[in-house]
Amino acid sequence: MSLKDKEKKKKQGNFLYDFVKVTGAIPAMLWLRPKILYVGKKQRIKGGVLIAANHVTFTDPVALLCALWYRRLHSIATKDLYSSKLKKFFFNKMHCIMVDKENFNMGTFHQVCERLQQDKAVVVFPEGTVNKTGNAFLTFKSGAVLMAYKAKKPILPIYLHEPKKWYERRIIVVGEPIEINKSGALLPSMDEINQINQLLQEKEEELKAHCDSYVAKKAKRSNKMGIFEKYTDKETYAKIVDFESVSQMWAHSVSEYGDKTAICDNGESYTFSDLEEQVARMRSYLLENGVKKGDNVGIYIPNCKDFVKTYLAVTTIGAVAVLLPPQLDEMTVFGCSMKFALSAMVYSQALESKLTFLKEKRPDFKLFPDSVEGENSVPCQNVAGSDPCTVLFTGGTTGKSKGALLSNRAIMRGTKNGCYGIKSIFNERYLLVLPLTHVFGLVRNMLTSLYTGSALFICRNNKDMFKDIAVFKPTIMVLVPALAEMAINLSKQFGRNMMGPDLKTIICGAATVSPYLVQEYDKIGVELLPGYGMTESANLVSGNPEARKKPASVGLIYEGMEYKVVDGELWLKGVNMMEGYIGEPEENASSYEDGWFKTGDLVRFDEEGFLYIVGRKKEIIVLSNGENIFPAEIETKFNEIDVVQDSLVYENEELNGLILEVYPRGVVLATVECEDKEKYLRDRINEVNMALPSIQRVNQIIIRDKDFVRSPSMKIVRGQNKNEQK
Amino acid sequence: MSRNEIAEKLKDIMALALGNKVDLGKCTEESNLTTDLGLNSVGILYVVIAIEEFFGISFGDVSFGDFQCVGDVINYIEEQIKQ
Repeated sequence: MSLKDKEKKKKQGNFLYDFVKVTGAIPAMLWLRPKILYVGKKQRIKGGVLIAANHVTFTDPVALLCALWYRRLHSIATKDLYSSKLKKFFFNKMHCIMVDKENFNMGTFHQVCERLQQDKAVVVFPEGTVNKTGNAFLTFKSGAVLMAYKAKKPILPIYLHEPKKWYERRIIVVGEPIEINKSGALLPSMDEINQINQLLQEKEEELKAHCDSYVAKKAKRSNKMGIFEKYTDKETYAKIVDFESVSQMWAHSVSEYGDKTAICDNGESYTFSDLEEQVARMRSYLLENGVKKGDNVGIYIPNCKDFVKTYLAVTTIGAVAVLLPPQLDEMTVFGCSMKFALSAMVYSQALESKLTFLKEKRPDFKLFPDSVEGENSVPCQNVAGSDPCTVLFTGGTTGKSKGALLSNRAIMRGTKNGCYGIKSIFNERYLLVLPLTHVFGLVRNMLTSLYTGSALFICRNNKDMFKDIAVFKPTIMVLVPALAEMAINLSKQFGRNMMGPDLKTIICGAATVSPYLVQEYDKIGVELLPGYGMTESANLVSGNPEARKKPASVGLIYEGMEYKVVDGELWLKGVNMMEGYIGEPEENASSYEDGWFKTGDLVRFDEEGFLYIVGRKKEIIVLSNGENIFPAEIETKFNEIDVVQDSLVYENEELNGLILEVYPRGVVLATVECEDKEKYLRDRINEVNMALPSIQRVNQIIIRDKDFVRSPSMKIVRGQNKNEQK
Repeated sequence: MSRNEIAEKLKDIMALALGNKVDLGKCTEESNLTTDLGLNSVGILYVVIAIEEFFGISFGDVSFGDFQCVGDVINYIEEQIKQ
């Protein structure tokens, strides 16, 4: 090296920086134990580069140094770090560039450009401070783009995973450098800036998804088979066995629980043996009238004992129960008889008037009232696990209604899953309020009740729910969050526990459960356990065990459920998964890949393997500046406010931003002492709004005076609720 | 450069930043940068960089909060050109 070069090197070099780096290396490596992942080619970045990373904790600069140990990093540092002379000296020696976030000025801009042009590596955190409340977010991000553009240097995106515990390994995902200014122009157009912003956003998401996959894999490895075993007592665990078919399960229950009460309906009580007697006669009738194994038999009956009887009769002869929701209209009933190739239908007298059209168009179609009895008594038939069992409609908040076909094995696995993690699951008392034509009501409520020798009290009309509770005193209930919410609100209004003295557990699912609900039920000594599942998975995929519940999570994945996270989306495989949608080849093709079912739900796992639903893939809002917004994530934050019952976030197309619609929790708002309730509510909402990262903030708030439009399973229907109130 | 010439050049630059969303025909020296012209923080940054390039001046340590209306910007540019 010539003398001139040596001098040059000495000027660039910096003893304090090197000293800190060397001495700090070992403690840093021991503490952070960094795991560096690469998306794209693993390479050493040479020359000038602008490193853009998200900022989650104060150890981020150290983490970046671990990832790019072979470079000197010149980092942007906020003004408040330069509060004393000593700090100022230190940070200058550490090659930092001061920035005043409140009053961003050209001085900083020029400094960064200069260093980039000197082939240095400059680190910026475009999001702002760790607390993410910076007003200058968007400016800074575009500023970063402009700096790289002017200096004609590439941007290197890096994603830093937020450690949940201080001793957790830091995961750093490094992307590939992106050339910003290929043409060498002086100034980009605004369009170009937006395009680059969007590209950066996409790259950041790619890195984040890569990180989430890795975290999920790690969680999976520690989530060995039998994780629920830990949370279920030995005796109970041993009793939870697999049954190949509904037929096998029912036969076992009858012999095991013969004299116990199985169903209470309309003032009458039926034991397992009583019920079997009636089922046996119906089996006889169906077989005598030409119904064979494998036939599709429609069941058009509202919640009552006869539904249960008919369902058991149909499935225990190996036929397929096609469940038609009672609210279906005449035309749809006829349409279903064709689409699902029904050989027969068992109906309730209460719904007979809606069969006129069907009878007209298909006079030869076999229609049986649910009171039919055959000549003989036919016992449970031999049915294999792989034989088709049930067709259930899946509604959903968007997308059209389809029929999902579930095999015997799948239905039984779904039934069995619900038994895990609960202290007392056998010989309980259930009160049924959910529709039996919905998977949650059918599997988690009815079938699990029959499987565990429990008594199922059928509430025919939800308005009588509390009267029935007072009489029947259930120990477990299966509810959707809207019903659980209503029940606790009424309890508060009347100043007493309306849920009965014996209620210990509520299984809650089919829509997002707010942690507020879990806490409120805790206060009255009831365990509200959020779970997650769908029709396509024969109900529960995951559930919170009683012994260890996390209110914001949907629990642990059940045994035997295979899962993976692809681009943030949960994919499933397993015994409990459906065979497919009937007569929907396009839907089937788009919902599956390599045998995996794509749920459309965006999820994440924590280090203990607990699952969190982040949003639905189809619900993503893409703003015009390229930012991706998950409304569900934002709604969760607003739903944490005790005076907010439910909320909905959607795109404000006119003003390029987000609208928030809120339905207040009247019961709690009434107890607040203030003159202007609306102002109080708005203030509470604004508090939360301002604490959100600026891209997630809403710029219009609408307060509803009536509840949102909901689907039959009580989920807010996204498309129909927009701009209902001006 | 006369004040009018500066104003015209400035209008061209702002048109680039705003992308024809605002009618600059009605723009005067009293027009407020954010409330009248709708320049958001990105837009202002863009305009500043463009001014530096086209007028060959530097904004140094001046803060953006110092400029409220178009007139302020023209004043600054004039001052810088004189130096």
